[in-house]
Amino acid sequence: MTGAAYTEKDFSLSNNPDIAPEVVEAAIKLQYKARLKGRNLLGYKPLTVSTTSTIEEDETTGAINWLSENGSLPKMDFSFVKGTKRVRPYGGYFEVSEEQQEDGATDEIRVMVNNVAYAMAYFEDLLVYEDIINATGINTIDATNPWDVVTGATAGDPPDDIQRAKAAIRQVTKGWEADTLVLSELAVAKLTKYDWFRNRCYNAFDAQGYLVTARLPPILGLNPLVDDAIDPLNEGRALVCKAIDIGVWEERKPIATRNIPGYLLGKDNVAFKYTAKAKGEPNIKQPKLGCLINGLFTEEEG
Amino acid sequence: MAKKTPVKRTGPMLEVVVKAGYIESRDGIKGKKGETIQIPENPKEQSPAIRQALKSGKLKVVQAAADLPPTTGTQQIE
Repeated sequence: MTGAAYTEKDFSLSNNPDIAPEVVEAAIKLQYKARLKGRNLLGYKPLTVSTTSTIEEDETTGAINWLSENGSLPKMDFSFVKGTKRVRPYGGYFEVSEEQQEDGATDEIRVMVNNVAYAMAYFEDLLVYEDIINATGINTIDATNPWDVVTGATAGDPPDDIQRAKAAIRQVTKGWEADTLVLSELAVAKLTKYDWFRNRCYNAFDAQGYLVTARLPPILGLNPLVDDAIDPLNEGRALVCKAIDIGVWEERKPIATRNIPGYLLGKDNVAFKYTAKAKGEPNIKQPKLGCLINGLFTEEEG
Repeated sequence: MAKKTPVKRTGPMLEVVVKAGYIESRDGIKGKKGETIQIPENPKEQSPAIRQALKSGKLKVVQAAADLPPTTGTQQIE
């Protein structure tokens, strides 16, 4: 003790509260939560074991009808196809060097936090869409013409394609209405070539009634969601669906973070290793509540 | 980008069962769940929706008797 109330170390940048391990861990979780897109399309179900049974709803048989004279009700039946699925853990880590900690490099640490948080959220989005796209029961249509042709006889007609997707869901489900349109970044770029879409982008209003520019407007009553994970390879795909009801995110463990001091790892130059882990899987139980629109982009003649 | 010319279906067709709720291609092929429909056998003549559906099991190829592996008396049992 020097007799001073605070030591030099207390005032040093390494004690910057912005890079305290607890704060960094909290930042990972905050950024991750804010970035979730595809996962928010699904309902939520906590799991108590690491396997889950996939129950995919089959065809709806029967229909609502007039009651017969003796009052008997027509039977509606919903058959299910069962399977099992293992819920796997996933995650990543990054290391903050001793120099970054000592120098209080908040900017560098913030970028690393975002890198791992965004990557976790994007990984989950990819899982969600992979399951939706490959669900056998999901409705599938082609765009009448590719959306990247704006004029001429073979011009694309996005509203017509989106409306047909809505109609397909309504027909198959006997009345369900889709509420969400998921588009990739490139699909949005193609849509901006259409005057009607561009005009709406510059004349959209927020919830308070103020004019906001460059915000995606609802299209045919569907909330637009831009998520590149729907079409990571730019194959030309969009999704129309009824959010929340199409499936659930089954979670065994929510995101968990941990900080491990570098010296415990035998790495003297590492101040902290931060890990982020989670364990969950999407379960698309009602694929008939979705419709894929394929062929949004012109294919090169091969 | 090259302009896509409409594909004329001239080649052999493939019989498939629809597993998706509903499927519709831009060249007029439609089908509901459980129906058997015909699609072009040549992948170049298939629309993106048909190709994606075949890949992900939304369309299942009906195997003709001739396609099934033959069972012969000389088959070795291991």
